[in-house]
Amino acid sequence: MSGNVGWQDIAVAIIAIVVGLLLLRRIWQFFFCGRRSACEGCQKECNRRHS
Amino acid sequence: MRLSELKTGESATVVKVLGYGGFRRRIMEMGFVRGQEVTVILDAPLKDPIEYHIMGYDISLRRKEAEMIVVMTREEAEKISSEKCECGECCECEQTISLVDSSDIVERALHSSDKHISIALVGNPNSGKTSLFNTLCGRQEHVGNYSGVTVDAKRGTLRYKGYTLEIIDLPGTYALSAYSPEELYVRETLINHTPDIVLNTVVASNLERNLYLTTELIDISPKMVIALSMYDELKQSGAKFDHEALGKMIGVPIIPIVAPSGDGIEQLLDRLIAVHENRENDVRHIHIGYGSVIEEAIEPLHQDMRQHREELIAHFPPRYYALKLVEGDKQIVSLLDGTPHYERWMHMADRARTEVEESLNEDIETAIANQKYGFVSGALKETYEMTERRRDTFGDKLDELVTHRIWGFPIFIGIMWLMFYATFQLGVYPQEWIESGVNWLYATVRTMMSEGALRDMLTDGVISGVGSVLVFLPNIMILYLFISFLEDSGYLARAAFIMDKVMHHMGVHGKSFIPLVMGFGCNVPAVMACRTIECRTSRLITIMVVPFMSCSARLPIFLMIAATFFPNNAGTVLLLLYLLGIITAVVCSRLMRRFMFREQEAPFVMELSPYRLPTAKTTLRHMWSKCAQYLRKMGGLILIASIVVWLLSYYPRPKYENGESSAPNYEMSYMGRIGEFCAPIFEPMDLGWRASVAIISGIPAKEIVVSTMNVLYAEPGDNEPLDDETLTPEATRRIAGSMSIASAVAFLIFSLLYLPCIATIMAIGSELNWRWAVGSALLNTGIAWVFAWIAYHITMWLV
Repeated sequence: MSGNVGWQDIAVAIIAIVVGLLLLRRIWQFFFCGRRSACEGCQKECNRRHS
Repeated sequence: MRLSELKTGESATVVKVLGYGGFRRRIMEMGFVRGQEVTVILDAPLKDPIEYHIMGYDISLRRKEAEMIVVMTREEAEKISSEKCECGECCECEQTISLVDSSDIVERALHSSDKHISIALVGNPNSGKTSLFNTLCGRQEHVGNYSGVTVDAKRGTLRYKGYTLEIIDLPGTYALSAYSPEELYVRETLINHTPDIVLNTVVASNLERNLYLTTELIDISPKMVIALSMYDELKQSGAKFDHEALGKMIGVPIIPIVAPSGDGIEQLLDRLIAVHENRENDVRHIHIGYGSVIEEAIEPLHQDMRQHREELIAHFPPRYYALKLVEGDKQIVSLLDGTPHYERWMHMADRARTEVEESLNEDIETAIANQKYGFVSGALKETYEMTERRRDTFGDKLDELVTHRIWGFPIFIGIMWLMFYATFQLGVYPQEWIESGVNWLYATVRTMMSEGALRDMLTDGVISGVGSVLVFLPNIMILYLFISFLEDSGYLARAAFIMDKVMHHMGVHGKSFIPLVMGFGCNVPAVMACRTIECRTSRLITIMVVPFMSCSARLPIFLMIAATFFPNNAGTVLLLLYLLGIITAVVCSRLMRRFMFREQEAPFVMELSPYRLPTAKTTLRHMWSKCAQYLRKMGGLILIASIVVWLLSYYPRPKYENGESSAPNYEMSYMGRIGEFCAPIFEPMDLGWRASVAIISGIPAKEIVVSTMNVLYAEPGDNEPLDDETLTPEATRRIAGSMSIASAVAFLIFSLLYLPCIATIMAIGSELNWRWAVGSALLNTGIAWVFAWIAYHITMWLV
């Protein structure tokens, strides 16, 4: 690790990872659970299938 | 779960057998009774039938029959047993558990499942279902004084005296035929979810029409309770209604309620539980008499279906199938298609239909509807004494004025103008306060934190990004305050009434007008407002064309470019852009109706419900629930999008020779590279990489386009811009120097039409599905590119 990397850069990296994971989750839902507005029953079924 | 869902080798315990009459009895005689353990032995080669082991012998059932048997696996039982009652009022659950052998989890779970009642709320549109649902479940679902507010099933749970009541609020429907998507949806929900009880809401002041649906429900023979809603209006009118006598007559308990005040709710819940536990003396199953001609005509088909009831899907009684087949109900015909006796039944149904039509000299649907209304009218004659309705009430006079041939439109335009004027003018003051708050926060964070990436992210990414959305909250609140008032008072239905003809020429429904007008403010609430359109295809088309309505976020782009390139005709350019958006929406909706959704549009049948003065509580609650939704959904999304855009435009940062990072460089950043990559797309319109980056940066929110251009065209030594939406004089000169007039026109048109912001895409995804959301983004961007390209070449030719 370069000596010029400060605590702010590390914090930004952590936030970037979290945001990236959130985006990945959205993409996953987009392809595999394309029914976010679906009724509870359908969502449960979706969760069951992908759990 | 259902028995059909068990896999080979799995075991479960029978909870209950759904369905009606003979089928149910037969299945129970075979040993499928509560508490019996059943094991799947094997599937037949074509996955149907399935062999089961029960009570020491093997039996085979078809999959569709196994679907009617509710079972509980050990895992499910363990889960149920681990859930504790949270009502905090009763100790019945604990007592129940202690009564049974604690070692047997399944037995215990079966015992507690007795206390679980699923209830489907079914009723006419605007009959107060959602009001009742909100009162029962303590929810704040949207209610309005017009039909079609509920467009999908909503579920809620209520704990009452140790019982768990699961309530499904279904869309309003006038009947259970296959006429409209709502009717089909309600019937399918009754088939697939098989509620324990149907709770039919009947408007006390409009009994005759509401009870028509009740006769349809009686035909399908569920356990039912009637909630006589808006009972206060009936009492005020002076009419007399012996609801108990009618309840005894039709075999369904009727309980008067006033949902908003909670009157009658406890009695309603007590009666629901009593009906579920078969403790209610009034309950009996009756047949609606259809008169000798229809009864004699359907009897042979009914008897034949009874004899072969194993071929019927056991959700409804054979008599209902016979009636619907004679009526020519498409869904029932397709359900029976493929059964061994299908041809014979169709032939018998045709013969019965001809007999009825020849004898009564009217078509079968009219004959059946007449008989049903005859039944209702007869029942009410004995129990209901109506007062004569006066035609000179305040509501009647107001109706005459707002739907007047000449005055209707000016009044409507006046109300719309007032709504938008208030939205944008009154909203300016709180908007300024929020803006100064955001600026103060921005400055404070920049002062307090040491220089670094995190500080830049928090200020330039998070505070600027989220702040730019937050400033619109006052406008949204005012807009929704007006809309809530118009909805709850009943005016919205009148607005749709006077606009239907214009909208019909566009290929959409009268109700589509409201969301399209709202689109000029913000596309997100406009897309959400499309829920009020009952007709599925009209709703879909409207949602797809709403993004062509130029929202307020695009205005700064137009102002910036128009002022730079057309300083003398900026107003005309602005007007032309708005007109282009409207024309594109009209053309697209007509094309979609012509080529994609050719099915007949639902006729404009809309109840003009009486005017009601909305209470401040309801209107404010309605407004707040919308604003909270806006903040929750858009805040989360905008936050993520702002951080992503910031990260892409901040990194990578070239390093100096001493190893320290330089200042952010847009051209070298990932965003700059994306702009370079996308530049060829805009090459035919001669838009450089900077314009490409600005367009891409506008995807999360269109306002970002202006601030991005400001940054990209700025150079060290320039004056500071006044704010994010104003360019420095130097940047303006650079833009004017780097773009031709033709490119500027193409840029304007592309900005007007290309994909709406992410928030709108998310709203479309949430209202329809993600495929439509992607489709909308592609459609908008495709059209934007083609129109921009055409405009570029026309301008090149002209100038």
